[in-house]
Amino acid sequence: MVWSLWRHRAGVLAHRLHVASVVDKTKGVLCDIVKDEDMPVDADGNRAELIMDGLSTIKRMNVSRCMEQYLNACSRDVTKKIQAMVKSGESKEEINNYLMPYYQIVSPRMVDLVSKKGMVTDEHLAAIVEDGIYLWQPTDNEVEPMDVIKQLNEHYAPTFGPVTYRGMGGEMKRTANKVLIGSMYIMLLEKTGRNWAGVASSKLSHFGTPAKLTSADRHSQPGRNQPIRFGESEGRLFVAMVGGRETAELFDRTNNPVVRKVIQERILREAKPTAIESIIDRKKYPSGNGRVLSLIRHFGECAGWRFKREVTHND
Amino acid sequence: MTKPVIMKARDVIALTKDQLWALPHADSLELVFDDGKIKTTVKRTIYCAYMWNVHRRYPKTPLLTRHHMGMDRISGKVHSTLLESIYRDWYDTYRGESEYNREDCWKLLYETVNEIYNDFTQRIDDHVATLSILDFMEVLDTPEIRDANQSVVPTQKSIDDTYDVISKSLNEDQSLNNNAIAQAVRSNLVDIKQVCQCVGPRGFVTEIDSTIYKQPITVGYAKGIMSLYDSMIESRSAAKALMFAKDPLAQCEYFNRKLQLVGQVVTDIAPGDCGTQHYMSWKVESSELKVMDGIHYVDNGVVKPIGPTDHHLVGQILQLRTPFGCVHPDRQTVCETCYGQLAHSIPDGTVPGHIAAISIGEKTSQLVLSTKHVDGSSKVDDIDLGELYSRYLVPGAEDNTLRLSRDLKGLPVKIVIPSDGAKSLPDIYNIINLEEVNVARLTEMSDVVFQVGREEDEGGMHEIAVPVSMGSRLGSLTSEALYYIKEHGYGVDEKGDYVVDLHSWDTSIALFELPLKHINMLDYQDSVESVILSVDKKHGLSRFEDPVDGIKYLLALISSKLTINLSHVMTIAYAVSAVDPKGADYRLPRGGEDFKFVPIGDLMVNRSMGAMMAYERQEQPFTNPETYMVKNRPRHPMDALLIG
Repeated sequence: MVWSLWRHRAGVLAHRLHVASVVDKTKGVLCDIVKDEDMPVDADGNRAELIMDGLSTIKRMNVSRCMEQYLNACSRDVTKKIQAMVKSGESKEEINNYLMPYYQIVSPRMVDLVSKKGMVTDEHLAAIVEDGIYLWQPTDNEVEPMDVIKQLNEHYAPTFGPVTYRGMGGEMKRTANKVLIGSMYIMLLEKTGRNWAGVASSKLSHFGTPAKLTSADRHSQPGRNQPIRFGESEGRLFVAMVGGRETAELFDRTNNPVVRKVIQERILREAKPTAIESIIDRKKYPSGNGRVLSLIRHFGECAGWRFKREVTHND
Repeated sequence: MTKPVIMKARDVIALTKDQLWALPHADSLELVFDDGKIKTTVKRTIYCAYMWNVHRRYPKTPLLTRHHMGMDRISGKVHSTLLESIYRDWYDTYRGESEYNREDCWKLLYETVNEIYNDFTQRIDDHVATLSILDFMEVLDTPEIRDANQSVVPTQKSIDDTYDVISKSLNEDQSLNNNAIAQAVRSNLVDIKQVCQCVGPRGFVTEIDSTIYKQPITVGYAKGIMSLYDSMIESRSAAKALMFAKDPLAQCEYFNRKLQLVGQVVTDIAPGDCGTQHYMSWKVESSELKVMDGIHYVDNGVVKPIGPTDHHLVGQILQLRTPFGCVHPDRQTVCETCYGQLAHSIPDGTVPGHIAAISIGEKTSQLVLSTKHVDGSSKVDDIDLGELYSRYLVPGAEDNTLRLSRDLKGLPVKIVIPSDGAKSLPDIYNIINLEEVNVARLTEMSDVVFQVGREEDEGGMHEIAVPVSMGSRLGSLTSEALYYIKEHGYGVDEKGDYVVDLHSWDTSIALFELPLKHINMLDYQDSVESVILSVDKKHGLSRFEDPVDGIKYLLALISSKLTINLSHVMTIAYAVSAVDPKGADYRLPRGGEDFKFVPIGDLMVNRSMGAMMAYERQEQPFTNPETYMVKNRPRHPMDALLIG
């Protein structure tokens, strides 16, 4: 799923590749951040903060998030209407007659919670004017979710039409389809891929072979102090795609402490360290003398065997 | 009626992008190609013209009607279908020419896909797709779907019928033309099974051990899963996803590792035709045709490729070109004719055995990982024993049963039931009502041995081990079979196994039954592993006398869940074969030589140490004296890592 984020909430700085988690078991990664004014805006001035791939709802089968978005869009517009009614001095009865049927549709038990003798309380009305509607939907809500949507669509339909946004072509566009803008409860997680990682050379064990990191290694610095590992899986892939010799070369540069040292010195002393044509002179430092191989060969020599390359009689 | 605009496809190729997009939109366009003309629209032609980059750079490539989508709907697959067809025609035209450069053509195809994405997202960015709960509401309110949902009852048939109604309405109902869900379904952008679970019943759910809950969930995600029972069994989906993401996935990856190390012994594909006269006789089943696409066969001395629509070949016995018959001088190299047309897609220098291994492995891993997303309404899988065993056992009237093949009617038939799978069989004499007993408590086995014929008959008696299980679903004798044994008795052979004479058995009655369990991907992967790598000799390829039976069995097993081309299956089978394992010759067979399929353990120890040192238990070969006697070990791409 790909999302883009529009606005930075107070105290939360979002980055690309930030992971976001949503209450209804979904999650996503922010793939791009665009300017506020380029994000979609509807006819009522509601501007999206996040764009999500609509089809991912079907692929993850989490229909409830569309429901949450729709309910919140309705609550947003009901809030606006009530704020306008209060501002224009309409009577409490009229406001009550508009608000209570809304709760009756969405969450009947909320009516008792926010009213006395059938009339909305002053405290609740003030809260709506101040901060909008927060719906209470008990898990054993007695109304059928799709009936709620149907009734809201008939009586409290939110703004739902084409939106305007800056398209990939760089121009402001009005969408051909109707797009619903509505809020969802989303948490931005701090797990990001932005921590610096990777050094040129791994830590060595006392045998001269690449060593496993200890917890002190892991936590003493803010980033990884170990290069990305090319393990056996990558080795299988490399030999199949680029050949054994090239793969052996790659492994030798890590596993041969002498070669590693020469490479490091070359990089540090070279005028253009990122443009070294041939980093190691294989006539001087032949491949195949990595520490791991040397150890195995040593065991073999002690046991009386050694590896030998023979041409198979394949004919 | 408006007269269609007529254009030549070759003229469209010459247009710049701006000219192409500026073409006046005509809903009726007649486009003339090198091989004929088609009726289409300008919008569709703009899309297809992007694919003709190959024709622009390689103008001798024929521009054919099959390089256009005609009046089809744009979907996630149209571009790949068209590009595949264009590439095939480019290949046939330029093969052998000085301009022939596969890698350049592949790059062009790759860039074309990028170009389409970039241009279309920029030029028609007002047509973004969207989705809201109102789309779900509209679908649920469609009369046919509403009626189907209201009439669903907790049976597999009812759920299947409801899914059929939903699928038909989403694809065909004109009132849903502007519905985002219907549009996504019609463009193949979503999986219809997932859509059905959203707007129809969730269906049958399995426990983490793959046992199917008897009572399905008859509502879907859009209506909401409300009852405690429904919620609790639905929670198993998440439990399975969690479970499969850990140990089973690691298990799957380890299988991939083994398959890759074994497969990599087939190191190269050589261009051209080795000209072999050694073929594999293969009777084509209708279910095999799709995966035999590109395999070559010889017809009256002429080498021809099999096409996916060559239905006339079904039922015929073809003489296939295969790696086993290839006479390329290097046993670890297969000529591209023996390999099949799939060779056209494998880059030079790439190890075909590795490609075969990952083609099988990647799909099983992905399906294990996405258990949660592909966990549709569970059905008991059909029992398919393959052609060889259908001479003995065939599916019974119930989905989970096996009965004796009618071909055996009247023949002297005995079955040998392994004693360790029938420890409680003698108890049947103490049980009065066998229908009330869980038959799996009395017998449970993966195979039985059939003894057909009599020693004294002209043809003699033959024995064959026949599977009565599917993965973890072990077969049990039915209560009817147990009554039969109770009446007619059983013998015990020298191994202590039970021998049952079936001379009076009614072949129309089910003899074995399998538990009502769903085959999950891990069971499936286990079965594939045990067959290819002959992990245990009872189930592996190595048990087949006739290698074609073995390869056919493997192909049927793989095809029961995945679509893998026979070239890959054949390559893997080739990689696990050896000329004469008993004579310590583990080279790959060549030019129709006799061979045997070999278990992975033997292959690793007796082929190049390059693979063995990357495998497991690396000390094993050094402590075994036989290791030092095996010569002529086939090389392995990993050798360079060992020798340097």
